[in-house]
Parts: sequence; structure tokens; C-alpha cells
Amino acid sequence: MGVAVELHEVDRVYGEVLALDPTTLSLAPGTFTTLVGPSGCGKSTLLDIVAGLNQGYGGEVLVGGTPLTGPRAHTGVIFQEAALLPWRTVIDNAAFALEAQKVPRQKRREVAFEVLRRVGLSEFAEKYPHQLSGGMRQRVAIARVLSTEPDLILADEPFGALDEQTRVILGLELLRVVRQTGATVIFVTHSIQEAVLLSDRILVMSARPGRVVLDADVHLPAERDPSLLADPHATELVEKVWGLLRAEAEEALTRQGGSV
Amino acid sequence: MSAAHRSANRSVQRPRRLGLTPRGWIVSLIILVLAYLEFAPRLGWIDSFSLPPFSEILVHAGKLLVDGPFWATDLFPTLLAMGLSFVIASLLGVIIGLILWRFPPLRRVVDPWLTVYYAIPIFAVYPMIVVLAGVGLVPIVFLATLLAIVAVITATIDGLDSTPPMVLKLSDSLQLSPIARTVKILLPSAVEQINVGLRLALSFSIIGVLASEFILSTHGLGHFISNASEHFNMGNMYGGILLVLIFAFGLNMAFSALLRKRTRRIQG
Ligand SMILES: Nc1ncnc2c1ncn2[C@@H]1O[C@H](COP(=O)(O)OP(=O)(O)OP(=O)(O)O)[C@@H](O)[C@H]1O
Ligand SMILES: [Mg+2]
Repeated sequence: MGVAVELHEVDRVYGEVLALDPTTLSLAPGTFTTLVGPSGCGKSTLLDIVAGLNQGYGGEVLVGGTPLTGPRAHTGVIFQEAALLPWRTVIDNAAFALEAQKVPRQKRREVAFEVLRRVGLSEFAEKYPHQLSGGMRQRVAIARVLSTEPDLILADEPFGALDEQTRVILGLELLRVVRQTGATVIFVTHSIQEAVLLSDRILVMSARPGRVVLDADVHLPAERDPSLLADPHATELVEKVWGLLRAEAEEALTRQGGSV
Repeated sequence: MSAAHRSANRSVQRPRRLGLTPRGWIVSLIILVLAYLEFAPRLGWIDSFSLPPFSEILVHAGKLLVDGPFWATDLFPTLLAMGLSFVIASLLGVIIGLILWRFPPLRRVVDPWLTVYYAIPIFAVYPMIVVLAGVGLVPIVFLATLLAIVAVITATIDGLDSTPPMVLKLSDSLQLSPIARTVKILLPSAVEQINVGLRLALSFSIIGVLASEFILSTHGLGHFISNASEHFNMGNMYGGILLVLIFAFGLNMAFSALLRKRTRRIQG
């Protein structure tokens, strides 16, 4: 089951630069929330803070009601590149998170095989990452995350390097397997369509220092498929987010122009 | 697609020059040189005292190889010293590399020294080492290790630097212990560069040991050769040189083959 995530006045300063404005947020258990915003606005920073990978932030983060102190065993992180270990087979990569948790070899290979089956890769279990396509590699990373039965999944532009069709297919696939586990998801993307298609809630962030400028619920049926993007509510939402992002991007550009 | 695949293709279609493959050329050249070394002394083109015919050198080297005392006082100490220096330089080099990589301030202090290290004629400190450690196995191994270790240190640091940042982040998010992180992520990521360093270290160990034995030692293959040359014992001298060449070549080949096999296993 998913877990609640709460941020109280969380901010992050790098040297003199305020990367993330104090942010207060509350995510309900089992919800899929997408973060969009101009480049450099602090999306990765926010995600890394919740992952326990970015120390030295201000404010407080609660995961499942418990203050966060560092990485959690039940938080799964999906990175932009698949972050697979090239010297390990697909199944040993999928089993790596369990190996880190010292699950015995036989048991972790069973679980890894099962999660590989869920992402449609069981036939490739004994292959090496360089023998897979980019989309398949990212599926292995998803399998690795699923293997630990996470209650919180953090994904930072996981499909950013893939083509449009693969991106949609993998996004819906991720949504399907995540729904089965009921995990809470925070998902960062640059694609507004992807955000609308996958999420229950969209947070739009301003240019640096990042701050949430729109917090919108997505009222689409639980069963998502690409045709839903033609839904009037979906097109309206895409328009709205797009308008906000353009304004932010323009502002960022003029600010840069002024300082040059 | 992969580099292995490409190189496999290349080896299939080896270009031929003047009717010979590259390997064919190498073999013919070696045969030519050996024939010259054999017949030039016999035909009187070269003074056969200064350079005996190759077959005689070969026979002499063969005799040395079945000579018990030669093994005990010369060959064995040399091989032992080479082996020890190589193993110590490899292990310590990787460990020091890991430590320097892990602690950037330390690395900043040491880096300039590593860069200029091989410009320093290390054999110049040999008298000092003799004063401190005497003559015998210890100073020889010490010097050869000093010569070999920096190649391993720099190669290890290079390899660790090439670990993708995402993989390091993954290891943080999975909360790997320092040892698990080192064994399961850092070393496998760096293994190719470390291999390069180990090959250099093997050569440096061989050079370091032989050179030290040449300069100052009472036994060992290096001493055997320098002693033979001082006493104009050309048979022993050339026999010893031939053995050095054979051992150096053989060790390098064996080690390269071993590394290729292991790397293929580690990296699929
Ligand atoms: N370790 C760091 N040290 C200094 N500044 C940093 C560091 N990490 C991020 N920043 C700065 O903080 C700001 C936010 O960075 P962040 O990576 O969170 O942005 P982002 O929204 O993920 O951008 P993108 O969409 O390009 O991935 C940027 O201006 C970046 O330059
Ligand atoms: Mg980012």
C-alpha cells in the first residue's frame, strides 16, 4: 500500500542560490503526482530530497508520518538513465535492490523473475543490458524498483531519453503496475501530455527559485489510455499548464537577458 | 553494435599485404632475425665470441633451466621478487586509489605528485634504500613496488572517475554498505582501467627487479647477467638475457590472456 508524503516549508539553498523556494505539500497515499516546470526550477532537487539523497535542505519531510532521515528501504527511485550495471545480467540487475537488502540469492532471483515477467521481460532474463533497447533497459529499472515492494516511487524523467511512442507505452505500463501495488508516485517530466495522461494530480513549478504555481487534479477515468488526451478536460488542462510554463519560460529568458 | 562484435568482424577480414596476413609478417620477420642471429656468427660476419650463434645461446639457456643451483640462487629469487612486487603494488595500488578517490582533499594534495612521479628517476634513491634496508630481497621488492604502484593508483582513480553518476546515486538510494558499494559497484565499474594499470605494473615489476639486481645484488637473474658480462662469460650472459626476454614475454602474454578471460566473464 502507498504511503503519505508531507513537505513542510522545505527549501534548498546551494551556496548563494535558492534552488527551491519553501514548499509545503501533502500527497495522499496511493496517488500519482506529476511535477512539471522549466529546466533548472528544482524538480530533481525536490525529488532527491524526498528520496533522502539530498541532505542539507531546510524544513521537514514526513514519509508515512515519520520524519525522513535518509534513503528508505521502501522508497524506489527510477533515474533518468536506467542506471543498470552493465556487467550484470538483466535478472541480476532486477535482483540488485534485493541483494542490497541481503535477501538470499535463490529468493531474490525468484522475485526478480516475477517482476521481470510483470514488465514483459522474462525472456531476456539472462541477457546483458547492452543487448536491450533503451525502453527495455528502463523496464529493467522499473522491475528493480518493483522487486522491493515500494510504498513510494520517485521517478525523475524516467522516459526522457525515449521516443514519443515508447514513452507513452512505458508510462501507461508503469501506471498499471504501480496501481497494482498501490504505491504513491512522484513523477517528473517535461511532457505535459505525459503528465495529464498518467497522473491524478499535476504540480506546475515556477522558474528558479522553484515554487508550486499550479496544483491541479486530473479528472479522468482510472483506466488510462492515449485516447483520453482528446477528452475536453484533458485538452483544457494541457492548455492551462502549457500557458503557465510558457509564461515561466519567457520570464526566465528575460531575466537572463537582463543580467547579461 | 558492441566493440567485441566489431573486433570479431575485423579479425575475420584481416587485410593481406603482399600475400601475407599481419601475423604472417610478424612470424616471417622473427624467423628472419633468428636466422641472421644464427648464421651471421657462423659465417664470420660477426665475431662469434661477442655474439655466439643463436642455437648455442638456446642450448645454453636450456642448460641453465635444468641447473639446480641456477634456479636456487638466480631464477627463483628473481621470480619471487617480481611476483611479490607485482602483488603488493596491485593490492596496495587499488586500495590507495580507492582511498584517494573517496577523499577529494587528500587527492588534491597527492595529485601533483602522482603526475610527475614517473619523471623522477627512482633508481637514484637506491643507495638510500640500501642504507635503510640493506641488500637482499627487501630493498629489491621495495624499489620494484615503488616503481609499479603509481601506475595502479592512477589507473584505479581514472576508472573510479568514469563511474556514471547515476550508478553512484543508485548505490546511495539502495543504502549499500561501504564494502558492498566498493565490491559490487566501484571496482567492477573501474575494472577495465585497473587492468591497464595492472599490465603496466607487471612490466614495471619486471623492470624494477632486474634493474635493482643489476645495480646492486649478490644473486638474482639481473646479477647473474651483469656478473657474466663482467667476466666475459658470453654463454651465461646471452643465456640469461634470452631467459629474461622469454619470461617477460611469457608473463605478459599469460597475464593479458587471464585479464581478457576475467573481463569477459565480469562484463559478459
Ligand atoms: N549540487 C548542486 N550544487 C549547486 N547547484 C545545484 C546543485 N544541484 C542543482 N543545482 C542548481 O539548482 C537548480 C535546480 O536544479 P534541479 O536539478 O533541481 O533542476 P530541475 O528542475 O531538475 O532541472 P531539469 O529539468 O533541467 O532537470 C539549478 O539552478 C541547478 O543549477
Ligand atoms: Mg532534473
